[in-house]
Amino acid sequence: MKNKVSILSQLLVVSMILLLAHNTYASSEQLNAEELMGKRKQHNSGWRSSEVALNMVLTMSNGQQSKRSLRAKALEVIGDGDKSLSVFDTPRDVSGVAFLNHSHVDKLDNQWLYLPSLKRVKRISSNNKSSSFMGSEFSYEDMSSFEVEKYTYGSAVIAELAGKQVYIVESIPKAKSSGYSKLKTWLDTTHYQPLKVEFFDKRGGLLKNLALSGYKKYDNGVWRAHQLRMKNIQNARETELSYQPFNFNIVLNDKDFNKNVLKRVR
Amino acid sequence: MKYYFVLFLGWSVHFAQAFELSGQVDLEHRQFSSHGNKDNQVHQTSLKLEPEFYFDDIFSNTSLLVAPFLRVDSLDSTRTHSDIREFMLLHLADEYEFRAGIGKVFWGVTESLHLVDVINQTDLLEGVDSEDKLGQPMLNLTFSKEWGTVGIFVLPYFRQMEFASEEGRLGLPFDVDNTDPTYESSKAARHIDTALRYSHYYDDWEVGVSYFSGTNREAYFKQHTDGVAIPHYAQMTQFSIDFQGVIDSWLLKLEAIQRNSIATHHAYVAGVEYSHSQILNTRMDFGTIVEYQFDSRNGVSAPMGQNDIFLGGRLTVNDMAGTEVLAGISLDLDDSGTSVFKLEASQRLSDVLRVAVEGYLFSSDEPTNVVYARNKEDFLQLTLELYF
Repeated sequence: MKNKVSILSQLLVVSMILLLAHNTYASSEQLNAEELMGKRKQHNSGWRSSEVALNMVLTMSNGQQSKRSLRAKALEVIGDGDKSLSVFDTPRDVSGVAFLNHSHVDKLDNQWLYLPSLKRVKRISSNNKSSSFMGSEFSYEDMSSFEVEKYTYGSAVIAELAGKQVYIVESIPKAKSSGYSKLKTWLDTTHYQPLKVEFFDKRGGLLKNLALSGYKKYDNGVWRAHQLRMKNIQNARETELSYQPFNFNIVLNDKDFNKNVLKRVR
Repeated sequence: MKYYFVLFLGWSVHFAQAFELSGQVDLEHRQFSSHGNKDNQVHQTSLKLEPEFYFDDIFSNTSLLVAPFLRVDSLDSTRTHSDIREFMLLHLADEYEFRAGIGKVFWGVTESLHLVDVINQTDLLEGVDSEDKLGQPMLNLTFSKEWGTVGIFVLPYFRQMEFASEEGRLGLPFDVDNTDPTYESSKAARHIDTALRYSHYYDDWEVGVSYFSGTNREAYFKQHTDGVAIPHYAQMTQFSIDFQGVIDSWLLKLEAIQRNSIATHHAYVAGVEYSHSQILNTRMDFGTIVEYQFDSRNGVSAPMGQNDIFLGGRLTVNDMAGTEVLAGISLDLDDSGTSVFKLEASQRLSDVLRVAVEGYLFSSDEPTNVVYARNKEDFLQLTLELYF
């Protein structure tokens, strides 16, 4: 009994020290960009597999609109980039077209496109990072999973966004083929998820502006945005992604993201 | 047989957990630049109907896909044809996939020629590029392991080639009597063909090795005294390999076959595709394709790609309308006066409508070249595709 009490008191002391240390650290205002982005990843991990339906609305500078609907499955990969499989439902001429992406931390992604009319799986050269994804203002790079290791980091500051305290973090893509010279990310101070991202082109000019909203915390502790609005500053076009609720109860594994499943995906 | 199909369909509708109907109706017009060798007409209009019925979970982990096909042609009575492109049961288990019925299988990686792809008979009536296929009856077992994917095929029935009629366009340069083709096998079209394929991919590299034993999809022609040719289908065994790799913006591709039939020959296509992202500071992507084609057959049996180079470009506009353009030219290296130019372009008009343009220019000054017979067959084709 006495032994147990002493262990408890020891634990108490240790945790108090840890708490103090944490407070001192937080009050010093020494923000580390990489650490903040690490927390961003951490607060969005542990989901294992997901399934979601989404709409994509493209808006031209003259206001003309076009809508696409798709379904996406994703698999969390520990120690490397995530895997995703997207299948288009509309417009009808691309119905059944499927896009498989194996994202990587330290090298280019592996990508395949399935064309149902020819029953053919086409390999995509993955140097297409800056290319438009299905005619939208999102590039292939934007559709790939966020990984801390894909960037080097610059400054991190505390600022305000719409009356709320936020962190602004600067990150520089490591990949030469990236379409960006720099990203500025506005992170929420509670769940560390991005609220806004500014993308700068290779010449350093502001290219795009992404606003993320409709955040919801799921039962597994993961935060997800449900509205993503990407504005291209240079051509005045806009793309909005609206997500239905994510299903994290689905159990997927590596096999479901094998290149061969493309031939029977629906 | 048809009665059982209908019965089975009815049964499927009844038991399916989900049912989807989708498909496509095409209105197509071909305009030829000149009257053909048989003074054929220059206009050819047709209508294509290709619905797809999908029944999910007709029994545990088993789906059924039914895709009939019909084309009605204004000029060519043979091109007015129907087919069952798919009538395929697919059973998914943890360790394997099992397919039974009629279906389509595509093997290969190259753009200008499909050498390795031998399961299905080509539907020659549909197009010039050999990408349309007739439905093939089959049993297929596929399983994926850490070390790759294995596919085993049993093909119990052979589909013969069909050619354009005398009034039609893009047919054979000689008269054919297709009513009673001959076979090497005593079982004729009922010879049971088999095929085996192993494929694997790791990171940026993909490889496939295939074996086929059975009826040669490509007919030989026996000349009759009256000048009419009769197709003859020999047996064949074919070994093939296909390979694809990615290095930065480069795709490297290879397909090679060794075929033992009445004659033995080998052939390969090797090439590269280079992608340029956002060309000229626009949102457009451009791919450059260069492929070399070799075939060891020569003389009268030489095919189009016996020693040819294909140069092509693919433009992806990345606009709302999903505009795409593919243009290319095949140059015969043995015969500088022979070339085939092709153009394919398409654009979405609305959520359910797409317009496509396709064109071919055939040119040869060498009468023994297969392209020579197509000198008068240049055409431009306009298609309105309605999706539902």
